[in-house]
Amino acid sequence: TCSTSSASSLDTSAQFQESNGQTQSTRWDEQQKVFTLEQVCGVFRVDLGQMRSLRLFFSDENCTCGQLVVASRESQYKIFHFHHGGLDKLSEVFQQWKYCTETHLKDQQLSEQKTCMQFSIRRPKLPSAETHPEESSSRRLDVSAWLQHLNQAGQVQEEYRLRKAIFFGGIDISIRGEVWPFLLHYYSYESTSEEREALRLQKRKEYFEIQEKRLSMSPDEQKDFWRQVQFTVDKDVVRTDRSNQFFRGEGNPNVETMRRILLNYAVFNPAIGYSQGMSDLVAPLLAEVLDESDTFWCFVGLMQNTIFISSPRDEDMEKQLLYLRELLRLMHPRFHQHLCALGEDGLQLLFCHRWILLCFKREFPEAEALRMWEACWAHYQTDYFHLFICVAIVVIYGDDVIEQQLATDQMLLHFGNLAMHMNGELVLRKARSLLYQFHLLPRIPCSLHELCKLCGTGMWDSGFIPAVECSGHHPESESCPYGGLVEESSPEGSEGKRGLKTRDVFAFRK
Amino acid sequence: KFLVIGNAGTGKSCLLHQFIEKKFKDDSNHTIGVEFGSKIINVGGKYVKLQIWDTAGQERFRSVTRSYYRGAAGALLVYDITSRETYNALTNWLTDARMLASQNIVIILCGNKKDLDADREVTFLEASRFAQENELMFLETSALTGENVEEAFVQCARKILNKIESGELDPERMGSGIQYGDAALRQLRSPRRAQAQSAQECGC
Repeated sequence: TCSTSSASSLDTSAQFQESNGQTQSTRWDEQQKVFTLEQVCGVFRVDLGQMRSLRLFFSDENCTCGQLVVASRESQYKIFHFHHGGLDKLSEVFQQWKYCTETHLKDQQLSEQKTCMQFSIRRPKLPSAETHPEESSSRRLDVSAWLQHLNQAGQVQEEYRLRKAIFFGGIDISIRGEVWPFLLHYYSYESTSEEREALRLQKRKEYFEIQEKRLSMSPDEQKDFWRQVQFTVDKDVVRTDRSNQFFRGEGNPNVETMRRILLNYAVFNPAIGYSQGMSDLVAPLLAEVLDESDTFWCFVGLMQNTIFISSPRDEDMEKQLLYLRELLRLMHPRFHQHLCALGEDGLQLLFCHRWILLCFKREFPEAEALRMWEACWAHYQTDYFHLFICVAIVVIYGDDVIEQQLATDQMLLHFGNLAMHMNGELVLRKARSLLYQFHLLPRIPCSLHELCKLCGTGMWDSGFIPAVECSGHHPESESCPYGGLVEESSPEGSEGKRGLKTRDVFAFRK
Repeated sequence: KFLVIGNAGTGKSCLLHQFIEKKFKDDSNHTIGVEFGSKIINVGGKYVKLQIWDTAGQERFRSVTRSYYRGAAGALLVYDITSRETYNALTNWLTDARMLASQNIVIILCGNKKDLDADREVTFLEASRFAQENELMFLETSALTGENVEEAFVQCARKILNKIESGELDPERMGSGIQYGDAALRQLRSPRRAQAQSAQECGC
């Protein structure tokens, strides 16, 4: 039995609607009592012999802090956080205890009936072979580093170098509001300070014209707009980031500003309108950029230039999922096999839709999530870095899924429970290393050849152009420039068998 | 397998949270993607594990919608009694549920935010009629106070069990959304009881 705090004796009479059978009710009673106790005074008590696993996740390099995670056989998790050390001591205790022989992935057998609980310790270090070789090349971009990137006229001197620095080191919180508009293509890198001031004035005027348009709709238009957009916006803005200092409190004017930006955006881009999730994307922008018009245009840039946009269109999401499935097939075949075994529902990757739609905003604490946003916006060596982050999460936290052959819903629960409990720094580092490994591949499947298309080559004369080969996964009978026609029958199992044509491409800058 | 469906802001996630945690989630944000919760309840002496899928009120991706509805045995169809707009949308939700899940899906209509009676836009009577016409069970609920929340889930589960007993529903049919308790689940309870019950037990 594992008990975390002593319980005062509580007389709880469990209540339940239906208890016809006397025999069950005692057991039910006990269970209810435990639940009630747990709620009232934070006691957590389980029979470890009945649990599926006990894991220690260290989150710091010294291996003293982290989480102790107990998982039931039904994928319910209890997480104990050790913010100020001590977890190392606990791990020693567990390791000396015969019952907790550390189990290793390779020794495990996939059996339905597990008699012994699994015990494992996960340490955060990535073997040096698994980190990006340039990992520690950039420190966080602070004010002085930022100023060094600008010339006298305020132009960014080497865009590629700046993006690279942000990709590896992130941006200091104090200058986010200043640098984000560049990453979001509101300001161009070549613009001078003066030009930017002029742009801001002009764009402000445009913004208020859009607002004017919204406010002068005919009653009929207004009714439609209310039903299609405003109704949902009104409900969402009051429940977006309200725990953030910037939006906290009743009647906070910043909430109203966020609302106006979203409504005006729907007028500006009626084809997209408003879809849930946009408020989550705009809120951090407003909190950093502060000015209403500037935030609006940054948001416009975000929706246009990033690929994980909260798009309401099926085909955008389908494309993301297709790339992600292919990346998993390439970089984590065991997990991909598991998904395939689950069939269509598994391959829908339901568990990571929110990751993609909100770019990990609800999976990591804000500081870490925004680091991920910046790394994605940097478009360094790929336009789809967020998908590498997805793969990194699966690589680091997905072992349970494979070992226990979790079904679709269990997978949803597994990753859902990990939200806000994952180590963002580690995930980012792993994602960068996965990108590096991807670039080392001598050839990539044609399904992924668009992954690194728009991000530019920087100081090099040619970008990352590996040989591309047809993987044979094509919808219908679409012909592939890298392989030729695909047989109509059996879309699966054809990869690697056919004599694949490869095509080496060299591209040079004009 | 249970679903919670209805327009944005009607309190779907709060109903689920109240049901599972017995607490009102007042800092709740809008659901993006699909969330999932499960709870074991006792219905007429049988232990039933509800696996409840909760999704965004604003529907987006058809492919997701299919996976979401597939094989659901029961659903809570939620509207907000203070918003006629959410009530007007019920027909569409109903059509989707019956088309994408199954014709036999057991649905309970929940008029949520019962605590905000002063702002009511939909009367109990009007919604009762709608429920009757569409063969739905009906309750007014409050995720804030917890009133009728457990009842909604339990009533829906009971109806499903009744349908199984009367032979109207066949749990063995593919995609019925119902599974008899598995070995792992039985271990959670006392072996004696599990043995005695295993014949009639439903642990879906």
